[in-house]
Amino acid sequence: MKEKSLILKISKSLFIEQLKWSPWFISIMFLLHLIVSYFQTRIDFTLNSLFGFSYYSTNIYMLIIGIIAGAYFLPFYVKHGITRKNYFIGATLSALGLSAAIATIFAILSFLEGAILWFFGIERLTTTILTVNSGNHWLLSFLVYTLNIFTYYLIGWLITTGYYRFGWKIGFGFIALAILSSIAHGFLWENELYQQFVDKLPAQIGGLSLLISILLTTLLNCLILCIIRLSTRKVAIKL
Amino acid sequence: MMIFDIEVSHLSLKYKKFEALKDISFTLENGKIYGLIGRNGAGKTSLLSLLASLREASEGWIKIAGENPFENYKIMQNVTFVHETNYTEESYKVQKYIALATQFYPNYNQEYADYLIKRFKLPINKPVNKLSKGMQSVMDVIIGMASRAPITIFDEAYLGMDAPTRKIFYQEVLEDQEKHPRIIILSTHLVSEMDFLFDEVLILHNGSLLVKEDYETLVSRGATITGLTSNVDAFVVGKRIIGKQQLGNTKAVTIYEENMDKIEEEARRNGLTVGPISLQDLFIYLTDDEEVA
Repeated sequence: MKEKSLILKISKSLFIEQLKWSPWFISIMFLLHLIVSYFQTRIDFTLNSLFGFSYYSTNIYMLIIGIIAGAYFLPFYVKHGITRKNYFIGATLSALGLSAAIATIFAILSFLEGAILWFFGIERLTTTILTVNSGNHWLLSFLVYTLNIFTYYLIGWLITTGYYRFGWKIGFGFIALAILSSIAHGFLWENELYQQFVDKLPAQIGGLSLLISILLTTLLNCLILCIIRLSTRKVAIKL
Repeated sequence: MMIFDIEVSHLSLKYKKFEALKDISFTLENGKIYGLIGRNGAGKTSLLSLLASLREASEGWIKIAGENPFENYKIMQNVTFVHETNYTEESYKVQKYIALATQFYPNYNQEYADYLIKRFKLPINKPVNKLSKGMQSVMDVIIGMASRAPITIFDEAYLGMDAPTRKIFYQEVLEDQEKHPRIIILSTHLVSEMDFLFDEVLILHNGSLLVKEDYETLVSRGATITGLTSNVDAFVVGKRIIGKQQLGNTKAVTIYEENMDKIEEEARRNGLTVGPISLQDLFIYLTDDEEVA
């Protein structure tokens, strides 16, 4: 098998295995959102669509998947004849695919749920997913969602990598690095923490445009991926 | 076509200050079964994990099919390494686990895997962590055998298997090796049970390679001389003695020498009985630190 098709096979296999972990999470989010939507008709508040509603939970979910997958699959694949490099590329591609797949599933469910709720005369759902204005454009929202949950997957993978490669002492350092990445990411997307700090920040940092946020997030992702790759390039596989 | 011979040159492995392997050199040829024996902590698993590219050597080099195997996808997918694995967290079902583990081996044969599953009576619908230790080892062995990798390594793969199951394993190693020759390395300290499998033997001791020899040649260097105590004592003077046993007036002394043919002939001329010795006895002798000290 050529190396390219081997990598594709690795990423496909990883993608399928990890996607299989997801139905329970997606179902819980779906049910939870249905229940909240029901109460929304009783109490007056604005509720996001399932797509927006699921966003923060999906971040956490991807973080956990990243932690589990990194610890489990690297030794498994290397023990069964895959180079660390090909695993790294395959795992990155599969994580990107997984992020897009989960975003797609939530988008479709959102749409279906919206249609059902509309049928029952409930129409207060909005589709904003983030404070950053994604212009309510569905493709942009989808891209932003995918990119951001991908970042959280990478943060999880980073933590696991630190522990696997360097043991628990330096592993703590990787947790610090993960927290830093998460704060940086939060600022790029103007989350709640950012809102508290925004007044104290120099004016030119506040109010990032969507394009800059996307570019800087991509840069952050590349940085995390570099650290993961450098840490696992020649890592000894434990027996 | 690639020929997957192994060449190891001046290989050393250090874990911080501990030297697990010291300056090891040898070559292994396609089509042979190698027994790798050594006492606990002799460095067997360290050596095997270097061959399987699970870690990098501190010094020296390995070539498989003439190439450095580390991070070399063409080589790594042709090496399978079966070792004792902790499966307490492994909730995949057996069938699924085997499929995941073997998906990248180019020579993997599903029919053969199915045949082995039947022969070993492996329950494929159970989660791996619900299998007994012996059955987990069976699963590992099936992955190793059915992968038909040109380099197949079993590191104490029999752990937890009962005697009849181990017998099937040994039979399969011999039968499949005849049909699909490869390099098979069996690391073990069940020497007396597995010695009939080995074409060649490597003995590791304290991180060094003590012996790498054809099995027949190696065991032919040892013999047990039996006879009247006085006759035997007189005969063995100046020879390397591995062991002694006394029963009444009769004594049996085990010796280990290069030119054993001559010695045996001489012993018979002196009215002494000459018997063969086992690899196990040789192994115990050669790795006995107390005797040396």
